[in-house]
Amino acid sequence: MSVKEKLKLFGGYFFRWIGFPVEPDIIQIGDPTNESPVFLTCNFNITVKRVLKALKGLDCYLLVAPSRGINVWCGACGDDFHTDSVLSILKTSGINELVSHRTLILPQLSAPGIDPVIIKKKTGWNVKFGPVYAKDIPEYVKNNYHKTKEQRKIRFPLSKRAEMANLYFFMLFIFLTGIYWVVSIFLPLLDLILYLNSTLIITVIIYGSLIILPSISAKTGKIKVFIYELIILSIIIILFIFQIYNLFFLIWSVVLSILLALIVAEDFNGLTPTYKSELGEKAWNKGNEKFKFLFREYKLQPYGQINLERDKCIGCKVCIDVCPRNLYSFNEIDKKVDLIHSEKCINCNACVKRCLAQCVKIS
Amino acid sequence: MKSLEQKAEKYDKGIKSLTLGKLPKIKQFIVEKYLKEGEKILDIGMGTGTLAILAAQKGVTVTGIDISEKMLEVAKNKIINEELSEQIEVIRMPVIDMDEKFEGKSFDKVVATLSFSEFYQKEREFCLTQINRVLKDNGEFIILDEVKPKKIWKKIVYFFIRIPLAFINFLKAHVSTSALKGFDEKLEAFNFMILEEHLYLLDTLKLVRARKKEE
Repeated sequence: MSVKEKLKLFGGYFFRWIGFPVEPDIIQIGDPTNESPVFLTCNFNITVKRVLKALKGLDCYLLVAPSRGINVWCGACGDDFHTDSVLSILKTSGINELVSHRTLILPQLSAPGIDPVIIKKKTGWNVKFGPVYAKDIPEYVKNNYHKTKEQRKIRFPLSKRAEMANLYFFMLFIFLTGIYWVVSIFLPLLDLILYLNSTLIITVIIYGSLIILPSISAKTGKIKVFIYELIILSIIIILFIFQIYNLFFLIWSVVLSILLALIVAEDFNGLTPTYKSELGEKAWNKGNEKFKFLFREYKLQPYGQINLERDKCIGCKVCIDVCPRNLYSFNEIDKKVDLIHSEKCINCNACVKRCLAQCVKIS
Repeated sequence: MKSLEQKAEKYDKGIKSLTLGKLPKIKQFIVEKYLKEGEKILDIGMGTGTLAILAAQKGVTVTGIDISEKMLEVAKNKIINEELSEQIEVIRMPVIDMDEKFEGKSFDKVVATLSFSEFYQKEREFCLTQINRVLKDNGEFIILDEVKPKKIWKKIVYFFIRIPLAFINFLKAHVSTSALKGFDEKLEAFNFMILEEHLYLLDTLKLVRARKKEE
C-alpha cells in the first residue's frame, strides 16, 4: 500500500464526512472460477478495505461501484450509491464474460438506493441483498446464501460509536483550533492551558455523549444531551469551588460546553443508526425535501410513521429481507407479513422503496 | 470541475475564470477548425451547451448528452434563447448507456470537453470503445481535458495551483477529477490515430484530434 493510500485511509477514519473514494474496479479474490460468487460494494476506501479483509480465503469477484467515496448506507439514502452505479460497474468491468451465473450479492444496507427490478430488466442480473456487515459474508456463503435474523440487524457497538465520535470530534476540533488561534492574537488572556482545557471539553462532550447516551432511554435526543450537559456543568462548578478553575476559566468552560452541547443536541439521534434523525424529520415536516448538510445538499427520504396495508401484501418477504431493525415477521397462516415493531422504525425507507406490492408507506 | 456543476447557473462564468478565459476560445477554435457544415456530431458531457450552440450556429447537427440535470436545464434555456432547438438534441443519460442509445457508425465526429476527467478508468475505456463504434469510417474524435504537465518547473507551478483547487472540489462535490494519464497510448490502443495535439495553460489542458483507424 502506497503512502498516499495510507494517508487517504487515515482521512477516511477521521474526516469521512467529505468522502474518500477509491478507483471503481473489479477485484479478483483468491482463485475464482466461472461459478464463483460476485459481490458488490461502494467505493469508500474503508468499506473496501473491510470487505477485502472479510472476503479473504474465499474465491470470488468483488465489484467496487462508484459512490463518490461515500459509505453504503449514507450513499444509498443520499443518492450517491444508486442503481446507475451498479449498472455502470456491471457494464464496464466485463464481469458478464467472467462468470456463467447471474447472481449479484449486494450489501443489505444498499437497499434504499438500489432497485433490483431495474437491474434485472436491463442486464439480466439477479440481485440478492447479503448481510449488513461484511464480516458475516463467509458464514452467509457457508449457510448457502441464507441470512439469519442476526445478520440482518444493524448494531451500534463501542467501536462504531467511537468512529462516529471521531467524525464529529475532528470537525469541531479543527474548527475551534482555527478560531482559538485567531482570537488569541487579540486576547492575551488565552494561553496553552486554556487551549488544552478546551480540547478536553470537546473530547468529553463528543466522545462521552456518543459512547454513553445511545444506551440511555429518553424521549428525544435533546433531552439525553441536556441531562449529560447538566452533569458536565456541575463538574465544572465543582472544579471552580475547589479553586482549580478561576473565574475566567469557569465562564469560558461553561460557554464552550453549552455551545458544544447545543451542536450535538441538534441531531443527536441522527448520529446513531438505531434512532431516527430528528433534524431530518423536522426538515421533512416543514416540507424541505433537501437540506444543506455542511458542504453539499443532502436529499431527504420521507419521515413519519410507518404503515403496512396488509390487504395489499403479496407475501414477497422483501421487507423482511431489507429491514435492518427486524420490524417484520412472516405470518405462515395467511402467507402475509406482519409489522410487529413499528415503534422501532428508523425511517431508512428500504422497505418502502423495495416492496414489490408497494404496500408499505411512511406518512 | 465538479464543484461548479453543483451551481450550474454559475458554471460558464466560473469555468471561464478558472481557465483564465481560455476555454471559450478553445471551444471556438474547435468549432472553427475541426467541424464542417452539415456534419452530425455527438457532444459527450455537453454541460451548459457552449460548444453545441457554437457548432449549431455553424450549421452542424448536434446530439448532446450529459448526466447532470441541472446543467442540461441551463443548456436547454440557452438553446431556446438562441432558437437552435431543431439542430441540437439534448439527452440526459449516463455515458455507459451509449451502447443502447446510439447505432453504430452514426456520427461524423465525437467531441468531449472536460468530461473524461470525471469518469473512472474502466468507464473511460468503455467510452472509447463506444466512441469508436458510433463513429463513421474516418470519423474523428476531438477531446479537450486536463493533463499533468511534463516539464519540472511547470509541474511545480501546477502543483501550487492545482492542489488547492482539487481540495475545494473535493470538499464541495466529493469527487476528485483525475487528470488524464497516458491518454495518447490509450487512444492508440483503442484504435485511434492521433492527428493533432495542442497544449494550453502551462500544459495543463490538452486538445487532441484523433481519427478512427480503418478496421
